[in-house]
Amino acid sequence: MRLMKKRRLRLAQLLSGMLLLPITGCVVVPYPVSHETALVDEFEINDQVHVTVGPRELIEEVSKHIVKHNPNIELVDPLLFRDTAFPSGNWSLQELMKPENRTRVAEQLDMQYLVLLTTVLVETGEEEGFLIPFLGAMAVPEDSTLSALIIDLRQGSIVTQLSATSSGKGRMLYYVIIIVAADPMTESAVISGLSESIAETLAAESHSGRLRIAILAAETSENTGEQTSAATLLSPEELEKQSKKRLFEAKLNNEIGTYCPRADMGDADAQKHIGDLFYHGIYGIKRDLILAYVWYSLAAMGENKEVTKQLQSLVDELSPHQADEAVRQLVNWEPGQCERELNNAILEENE
Amino acid sequence: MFIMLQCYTSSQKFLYFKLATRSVITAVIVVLVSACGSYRSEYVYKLYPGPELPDSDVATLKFGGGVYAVEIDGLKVTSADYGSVKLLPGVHTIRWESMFIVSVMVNASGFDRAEADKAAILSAGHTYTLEADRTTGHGYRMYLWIEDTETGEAVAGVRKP
Repeated sequence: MRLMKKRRLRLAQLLSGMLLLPITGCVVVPYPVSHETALVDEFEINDQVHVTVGPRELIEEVSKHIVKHNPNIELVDPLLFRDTAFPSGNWSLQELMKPENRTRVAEQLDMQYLVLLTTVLVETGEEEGFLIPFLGAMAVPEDSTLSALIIDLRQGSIVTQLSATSSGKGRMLYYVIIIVAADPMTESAVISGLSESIAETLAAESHSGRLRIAILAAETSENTGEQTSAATLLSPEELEKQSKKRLFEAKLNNEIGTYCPRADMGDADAQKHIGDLFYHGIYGIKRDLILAYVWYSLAAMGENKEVTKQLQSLVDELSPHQADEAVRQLVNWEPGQCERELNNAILEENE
Repeated sequence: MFIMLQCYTSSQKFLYFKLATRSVITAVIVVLVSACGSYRSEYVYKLYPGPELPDSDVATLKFGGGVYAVEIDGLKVTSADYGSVKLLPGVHTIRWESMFIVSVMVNASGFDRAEADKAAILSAGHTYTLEADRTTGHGYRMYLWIEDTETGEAVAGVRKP
């Protein structure tokens, strides 16, 4: 009797599970939190800070808030600003801050202030709660930060640097694939908080008069602009040549990063791959039969079966002198050589 | 089969930032994203200086399904902000990330993430897609590649066989 009941119960559980399975989804309930805005001193104008229109949604949201807080503000289209300010594609802030550039932009677009935003930085803390398969309840502290730099293009000065921060706790209840979450909306809080402060600062600067500004983003990057400007200015033949060279460099860097650590650790497949690079002279590196022999031999010792045939034919290509040198290098081989050897090969090629 | 009950998200970026931070939270949020359906923008990012050029003079880069974080020539581009990017022909360095739901035998969290940082020659008039895919079962592997949509050729990375 008890067994029957148990079976019925299991059957009922199974049926209800099957019925519930298609009903899945998520409920994210937002709740607003407060923010704080402070003056900061974190922007450094150098050639690695670039002016971009990348975070489109953020720029639009901040623009909307600023105009709402201060209807005297008129916005310049971010893309128009970028293309006017950087006709050559070098989008560095340092370039823009050169007197001839900033005054040209200010006059051409009839504007005075440029607002540069960082991206919203959302940091989550240590989660509290539990998560087991198909069930979990958690709380996660969350902090958001958004900063802005206001530049007076006509004066060439930084008006102010602001940063808004907001903290909250995200909560999440998770059952199978149904999720109920409470979003502390720290991101929205910093966006509206910072926008309000920007609008107030600009109102104080403009003395309630009409004001034309541009809102863009600032990103820090080592190579931005270089490639796009290069692509614009070079002839098609030169572009192809440069493209090939840069592609080889980038690919070789990929190879070094991916295979060298493994090859140095004794991974036979990676050692064979490095041997291939030297044997065929791939990605602009100098063809080197001696180094190919060393790496193929290491791979063969690591029991890479594919390499045996290649090693055999390579031995036939080596002169007696090269064979002696190859054996000497193999005996003296030690981990850590891979990256140096590949870099040397490309350097020799460039020279 | 998914039936959405309610989906309120302050911004897609909220999810992306969290995606990158904590594994457990990531796992849950990916489920949340997939249950809510991920938003993809239709905006075009003109990532070259000067006047707008016809499509025949520029390369177009699109984001394939499952690609959620992208950096082109050092600049961040999210699929929530833009659906495609227009670039001048030439070499561009492209970094992108992808995440998949996987067996707990592959990754205890049930999710696996991969990242690629590649350089590719993009030609004028061509459209490329950043792709990400994976195999299942024994020998699990993730593949990330850039595909020329006209020729089907992988111009960078390894295409899933």
